[in-house]
Amino acid sequence: MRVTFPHMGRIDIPGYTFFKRLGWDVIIPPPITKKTIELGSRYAPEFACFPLKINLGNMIEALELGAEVIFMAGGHGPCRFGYYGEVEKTILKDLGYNFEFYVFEPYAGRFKKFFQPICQLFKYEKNLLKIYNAGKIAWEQGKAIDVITKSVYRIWPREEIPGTTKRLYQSAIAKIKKADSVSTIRYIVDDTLKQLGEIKIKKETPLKVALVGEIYAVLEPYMNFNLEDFLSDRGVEVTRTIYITDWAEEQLIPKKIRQKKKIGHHEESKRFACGYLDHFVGGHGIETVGTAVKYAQAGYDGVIQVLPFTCMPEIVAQSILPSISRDYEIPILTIIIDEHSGQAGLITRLEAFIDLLQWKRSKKEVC
Amino acid sequence: MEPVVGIPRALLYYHYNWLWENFFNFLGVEVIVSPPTNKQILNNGVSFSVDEACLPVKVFMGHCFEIKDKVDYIFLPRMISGKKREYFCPKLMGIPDMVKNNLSNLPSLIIPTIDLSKSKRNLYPALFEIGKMLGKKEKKIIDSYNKALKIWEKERKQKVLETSIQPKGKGFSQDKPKIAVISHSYTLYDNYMNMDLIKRLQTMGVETILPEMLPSWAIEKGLSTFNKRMYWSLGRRIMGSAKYYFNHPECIDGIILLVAFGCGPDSLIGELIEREAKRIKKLPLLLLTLDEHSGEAGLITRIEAFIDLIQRRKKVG
Ligand code: SF4
Ligand code: SF4
Repeated sequence: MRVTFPHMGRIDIPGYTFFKRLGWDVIIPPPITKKTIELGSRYAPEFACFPLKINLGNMIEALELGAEVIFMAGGHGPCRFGYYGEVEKTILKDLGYNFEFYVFEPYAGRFKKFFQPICQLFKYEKNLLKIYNAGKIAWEQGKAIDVITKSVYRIWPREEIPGTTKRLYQSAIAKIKKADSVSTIRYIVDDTLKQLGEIKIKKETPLKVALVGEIYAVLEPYMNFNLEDFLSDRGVEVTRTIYITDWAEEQLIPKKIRQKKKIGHHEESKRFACGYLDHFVGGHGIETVGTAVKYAQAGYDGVIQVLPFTCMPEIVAQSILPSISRDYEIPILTIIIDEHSGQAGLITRLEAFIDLLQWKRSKKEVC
Repeated sequence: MEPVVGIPRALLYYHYNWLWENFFNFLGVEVIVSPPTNKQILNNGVSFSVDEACLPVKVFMGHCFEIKDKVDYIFLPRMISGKKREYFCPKLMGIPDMVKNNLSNLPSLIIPTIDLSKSKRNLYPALFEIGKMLGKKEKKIIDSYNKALKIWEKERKQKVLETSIQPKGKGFSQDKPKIAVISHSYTLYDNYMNMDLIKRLQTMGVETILPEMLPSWAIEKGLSTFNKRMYWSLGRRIMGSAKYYFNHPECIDGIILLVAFGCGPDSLIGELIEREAKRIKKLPLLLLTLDEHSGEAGLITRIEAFIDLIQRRKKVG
């Protein structure tokens, strides 16, 4: 049994661990390249959102390597994500591939639907404890990557010797990938955080930018042209507002069971978005608007919204962001990405944006 | 002086028209509906929307701009869901905010939230909110609503043609090709947007079957053969009717799927329908995409070619 699943950020690491520990062969799709995008765009509907096309490219490449089972996440609307699986499956079948396809859907008050794919898993793996343990380590890895990533992008723009943080980051990720117990992973996290704390940093505060938008565009560096690294290298602190484990927690665990005292990202965004966007619109629409307001209030220098071309919730958000920009006098850059986007154009825009922020900051300091 | 409420003639107005209009009329409020879409409205809509918005949303923006200076209120319901576990599209949910943030000098906005995804009873708070803004009593609100609802339901029932889905339906002439036109009502009935598609088809000698003519049991039956539950209310009609025809290809001679440029749901639903049509090979399908630059000439050529194809098939079959 060779299983596979599409890429999104560093999800390959916990994903690999999980399935491997169940004793299956895992075929991680080759890293996303131009070819992946070409394959995806060739067979996907022209106006489907870009993540669907990349997913499809991943799946085709994995099937070519011999994958037999595909796992995918799903949803119940109102966004398009809920039909990704159905569309991808249909296209792959039409292309003549042979495979099994399972969609994990968030719990939506329906036990049967939620547990169906999990029960399918049981067809192959009956040991519940084994599944639990595999899940636990995978989760811990995901958490660890997120925790470290958060610190990394705070230190990186401030580092005195360029490259220090990145090196440390990469070695930490490599270690987490290899780690095979919860305690090892925790040790790596503590150790990395300590080392990050020892990196020599500059005194002045860097420009601060909040990164908001559609989840795939935010999380997948190939899609956003490594925006976080690019800005960090230029001394801009990027605060990413979406982390996969935070999101998964909100999606998978029913509200009632989640820690009462901690208000979720969604709830918080809703409060901040009030007056600009008064209702959820699927995807991360309200999170985009809410966090833009939150960081504008927190005195950030700018906001960057990334979204796939034709993304519905983000189009709603996009038409609202100019009002926030005006009210808080904060520059907001919207970046729309699809298979035709080029890195060169983006870099020019980002550089111009940084210049604008710098200029605004210097004006503020004078007054 | 009674206040004047404006309703943009776009998006879900094409579905709920009499319900909304009559409701306000029974409340004793004057209603102004913006005129049918024209060039000016479309152009304004395009210039006040983000480029990425779909054509119907741009048109809606244009209609809001058109009436905003002529009325005391604009009725801009936030349509979340009309039924349990179903949703409208994200843009319909966010349209009031898009209008608020993109048009200036707006009159007061009536923005009730219609979300019946959990319970039907959620409708009443929304109605009361409307009434409160207009200074009306609760009893009057409920009465007006129920009266309007009755008329609207009756009108809709009259549209359903049971005959249309019997094999080569009685009441339809045998030699004329029968084509089902599947689309969102706001694309199908906005004659400016679709360049008068239905009338054109009819003058070309085609019997058109519109989505509203298919009874809901047929839609549900069609949907039951779709793998995943369809959670978009408007998508249900589109997917359900297409599926129904695929399972009963003897009812009609072809399908025209009319989609608006930039429509998110239709990019996926359309793909699934197109693929199925290709796979089963029993019903010819024409996918027409409308955008703000669509030209008439291109449209006519494509329809003519499609009708030719159907005529040829009829002769052979
Ligand atoms: S959030 Fe945007 S990109 Fe993601 S599925 Fe929805 S429409 Fe597509
Ligand atoms: S369903 Fe399609 S056409 Fe209608 S508002 Fe949504 S995206 Fe636009």
